[in-house]
Amino acid sequence: MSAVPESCDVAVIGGGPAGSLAATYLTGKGYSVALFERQKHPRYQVGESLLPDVWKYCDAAGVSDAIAAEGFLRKAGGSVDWNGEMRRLSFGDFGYTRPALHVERDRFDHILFERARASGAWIGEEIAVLGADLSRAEDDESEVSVSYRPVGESSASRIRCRYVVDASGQTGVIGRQLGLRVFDEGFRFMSVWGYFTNSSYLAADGQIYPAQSVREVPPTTYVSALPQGDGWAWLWHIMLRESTSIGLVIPKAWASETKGSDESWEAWFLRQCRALPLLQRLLADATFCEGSVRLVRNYSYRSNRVTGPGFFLLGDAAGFVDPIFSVGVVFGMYSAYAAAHTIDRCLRQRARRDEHRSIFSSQVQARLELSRSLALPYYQASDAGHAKAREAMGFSSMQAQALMYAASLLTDRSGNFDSMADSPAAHRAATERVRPLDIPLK
Amino acid sequence: MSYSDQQIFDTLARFFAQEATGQGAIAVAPDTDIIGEGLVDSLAIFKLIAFVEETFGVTIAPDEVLLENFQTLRAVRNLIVKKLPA
Repeated sequence: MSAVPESCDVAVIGGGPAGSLAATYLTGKGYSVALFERQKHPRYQVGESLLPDVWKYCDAAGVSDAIAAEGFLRKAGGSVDWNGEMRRLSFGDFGYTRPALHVERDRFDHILFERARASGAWIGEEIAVLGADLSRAEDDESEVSVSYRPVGESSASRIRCRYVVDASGQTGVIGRQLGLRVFDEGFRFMSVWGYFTNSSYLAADGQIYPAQSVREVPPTTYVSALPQGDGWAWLWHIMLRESTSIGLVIPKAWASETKGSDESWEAWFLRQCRALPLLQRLLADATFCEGSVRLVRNYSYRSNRVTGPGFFLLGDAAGFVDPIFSVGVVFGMYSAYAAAHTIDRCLRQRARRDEHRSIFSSQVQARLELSRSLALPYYQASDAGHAKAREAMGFSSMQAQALMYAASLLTDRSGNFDSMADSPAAHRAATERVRPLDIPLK
Repeated sequence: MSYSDQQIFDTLARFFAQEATGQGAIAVAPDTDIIGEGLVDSLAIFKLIAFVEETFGVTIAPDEVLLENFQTLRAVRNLIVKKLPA
C-alpha cells in the first residue's frame, strides 16, 4: 500500500459495494479518489441476496464481466410463506432478462473493491476514518479535511479533499458526526443467522430440489413469517454455492422473551429453525455449520439530510430498512451512481452546487421512502414522505412497479404501500404473476 | 437560438441513441411513456437532465424534476420551450 496522499478530489469512506462503485464512477470521470476501508478484503458480510438491478450498476462500473466470471448462483425469484399463505414469483415472469444473484458477499464485495483499485483510485485498507471538518466546504477554498487513523496506530492524520462520500454502512461516520440519523424507535430488531451445508431448496417451479441441483435449477430466496412474531418476525433461506444462509429477523423484545436465560443464541436459533415445518423439510439432510451463528442488534433508520456542503451519504450510511426485500445493495449502488454524477456536476458548475445537491437529495430520499413503505410493518409515512414515495414510484418503469406490487402482495407488510401506489396496470401485472406455492408438508 | 419541434425531438432522440443505458439506438415517439417503458430509468434521469441543460443551454430547477416534465419527449420538449428565449 502506497502512502496516503495529502489531498484528492473525493475521499470515500468504506469499501463495500456503494463505496467501491462510487470510487470507480468518480475515477472514470477523471477525479482523483482515495478510498478508505477499515477492514481488509476479503471480509465477511451478510446480505447475500441481490436483485437483477445490480447488473446495470455493474455495467456502468465496467465490472459485470468479472462478476459473471465468478459464477455466483443465479436466483430465480422468491418463495414466501406468510401466515399460512404460500406464494412464489419468478423474475423471468416480470421480463427481467438478467439474473438476480445469491452471492458470498466476501467475494462479491472484493471484486467491486478490486475494480475500484484497477480504475485508479488510491486504496487504503485497515484505515479507520474518524470524521471530517466540513466548516470550509464549498467556500472559496472548497476544502474538506478528513481525519483517519491506520488500525493499530495511535495518531490520526488528515487528507484534504473537495468532497467526502460516506459509504461506511451502519457505522455512518459523517451522518453520526452531524447528527443526521433518525432512528425508527418502533423498529428495534435483531438478526440472528447461521450456515448449513446440504440443505434442499425451493425453485421457481414451486418444487423442492436437493442441494446438488443448485447449479442446474436456480434457487429462489425462501422467506417465511415466524409464528408468534407479531407479523414482523421472519426468516430467510438463501442458497449459496457451498452452503445455505439461514437467518431470523425478530423484534428485540421477542428475542429476549423467548430465549432461555441459560440458552445460547446458537441453541435458540436452532430451536426456532425446527419450529417451521417447511424449513425442517428443507433441512432434513442438512448439517449445521458449528460456530457459524452470528447476531446483530439493529434499527431501521433514515437520515434527515443525505447531502450538504462537502458531503454525500450513500447506502446504509444514508438509511437502512428491514432487509426483507433485498433492496440494500441496489440502493447502495444507486446512491453511488447518483453521488458520482452530482459531484461531477457540482465541480463543473460551482454556482449551481446547491441545485445539483438538491436533486440528489430528493431522488435518493424518495427512493429510500419507497423502500420504507414496502418493508416496514405498520409504517406510517408523513404526508411529505408519502409524496416522496409516490414520486419515486412514478419514476419507476412498469416492470419495476409490477415487481414492487408483487413484493407487497407476498406479505402483509405493505398496507402503506398499497394505499400509496396508484397504478392499476402494474397491480394487475403483479397479481397475474404471483402464483400459489403448493408444498405438501407431510 | 430557436428550435423547431422537430429539431428538439431529433436532438432528444440523439440522447437515446448515445446515452441511455442498455437500450441501444432506438426510435422514441414523442408520446411514448419513456419512464414506464423503462427507457429512462433511475440512472438515466440524471443523465437526461444534464443532457437537456448542456444541449439546449437551459437550467432545470430541482422542483421541476417531476414525472409530468419527463414522462414523454413531448413533456420534455414543453419544459425546454418554456425556458428558451422567445
